[in-house]
Amino acid sequence: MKKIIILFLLSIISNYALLASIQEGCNKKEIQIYYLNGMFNTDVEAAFSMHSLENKLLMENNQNGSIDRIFPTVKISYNINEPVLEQIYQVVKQKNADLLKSYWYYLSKLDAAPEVFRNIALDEIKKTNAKTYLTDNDFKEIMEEHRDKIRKEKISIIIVSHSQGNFYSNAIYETIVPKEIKSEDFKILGVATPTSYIPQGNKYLTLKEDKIIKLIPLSLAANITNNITEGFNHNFVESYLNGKNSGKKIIEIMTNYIKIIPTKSMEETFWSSPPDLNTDGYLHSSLIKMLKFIRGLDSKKIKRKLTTSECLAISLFAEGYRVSGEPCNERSLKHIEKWTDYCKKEWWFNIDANGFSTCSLYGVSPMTTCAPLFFDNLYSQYPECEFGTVEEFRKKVHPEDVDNAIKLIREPPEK
Amino acid sequence: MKLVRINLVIILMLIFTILSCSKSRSTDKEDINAVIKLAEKRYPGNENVKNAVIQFANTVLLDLKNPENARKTHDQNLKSVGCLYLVTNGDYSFFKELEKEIINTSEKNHLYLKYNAKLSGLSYTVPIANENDCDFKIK
Repeated sequence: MKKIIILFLLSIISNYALLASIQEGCNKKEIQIYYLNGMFNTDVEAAFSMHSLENKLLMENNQNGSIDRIFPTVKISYNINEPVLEQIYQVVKQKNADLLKSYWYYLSKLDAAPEVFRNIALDEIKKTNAKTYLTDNDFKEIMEEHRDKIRKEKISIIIVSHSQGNFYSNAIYETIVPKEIKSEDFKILGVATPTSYIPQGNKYLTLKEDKIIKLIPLSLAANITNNITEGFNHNFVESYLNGKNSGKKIIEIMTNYIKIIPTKSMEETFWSSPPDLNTDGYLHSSLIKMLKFIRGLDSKKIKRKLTTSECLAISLFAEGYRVSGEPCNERSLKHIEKWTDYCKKEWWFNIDANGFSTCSLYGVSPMTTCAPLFFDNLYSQYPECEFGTVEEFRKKVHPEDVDNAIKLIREPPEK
Repeated sequence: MKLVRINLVIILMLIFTILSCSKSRSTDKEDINAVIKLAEKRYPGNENVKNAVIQFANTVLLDLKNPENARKTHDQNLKSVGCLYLVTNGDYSFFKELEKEIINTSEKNHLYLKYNAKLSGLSYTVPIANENDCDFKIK
């Protein structure tokens, strides 16, 4: 009986897809949904997860006919960080090799793992950030896949990223949008996101009861609950997609994304040059003065050598603003101060901290997340602003420079 | 004489250890039997599930033998996952139990790490699960 129901559903689905493609599809852009998996997913688990998402979207469509275009193709950009997984394997081997019999099972179900295994895995999760997670070759391969889809095949993309997959989706977005396409053609739904921000106009869902994300400093605040208290509640299928509230919300967001992808041709949506900064839309009023100062630098109106505090103020503005985790129109001086205070205490002047994790100051990173500012030529115009390695940063910058930098963001010099 | 007895005890202990070790599953056939047993427990009398778990186990066991060929054999994996999804109506917990049952030694788990690492960076389509994913005729 169940088989008959499944076959019946499949026939409805395929008929609908065919009909939709004939009636509506011809003049609408093709969409592909990409899943960027979390760090402990096997390839087959990622595939199973996507079947689950695909099925839920189809059911929603069958009930409400909400997807008024060719049904999106579902794809996976599979990624794992082999050194991290190897590290966990080796540490478990030293502590209790017997547990390795269920290594992959325990990784995906930490609730079921013995405490010793769980602690080793959690330690690695806590250490993970964008810099440690994105491996060059895998990122390049995935990046090129997405870029080709958009440029050559003129396909719009919706990324569903789970857990550490969010590091990839943010990085892909920042590389492609808005330099190459408008954000409407590239949407992200971050699920269980460990990142400190999500690009503007995109959405994320993190469960209040997700005990894995809670461990990650500066991750975005939880924004939904299924009212479950037991367990880690981090798994994409079990906790999020099958969750009472989160499951509905995922489908709602995805359906809306599919609806709002424009029907214009890709040529029309390419920007020939980066758009002007929209101060009303992107930037909090407390940061307007600093923006004017940066514009003065960018247009070479300020020709003198910059002080360490000024250089730091520019970087804090760019990075603190970028990673503060609030919606773009709410990001403000207050958030930069909060982030700076955390980094000053925990990372920059803490000699036990080897990398800077989320407190890294890239200096030239384009502020594409909320405000499309481009600092590409900052170092060539102001080489004194290059902070270099962690050690070089500590030699060059003192705690009082950080305090002065914050004062400068509040009241930057006019010349 | 006493020394001979001690040696005999040691030899007997060694034999016992070897026999005990051999009791832990080591052949593909034993693994397949174990997943069939699991399927029978969860889905009694369901031939579709039985055949789907055999298909899935065979592809995973093949992956473990040749992790270097991950990108070549990957399509078969996708099909076996699609088939399993279809016949179990997306039973995730059963799928996880199944994976655990097949990847059941530390060596296999490590080989599976190598297999998955070979796939990292790859993008691929996941077609809607359908009957063609199954290498048997659905009843």
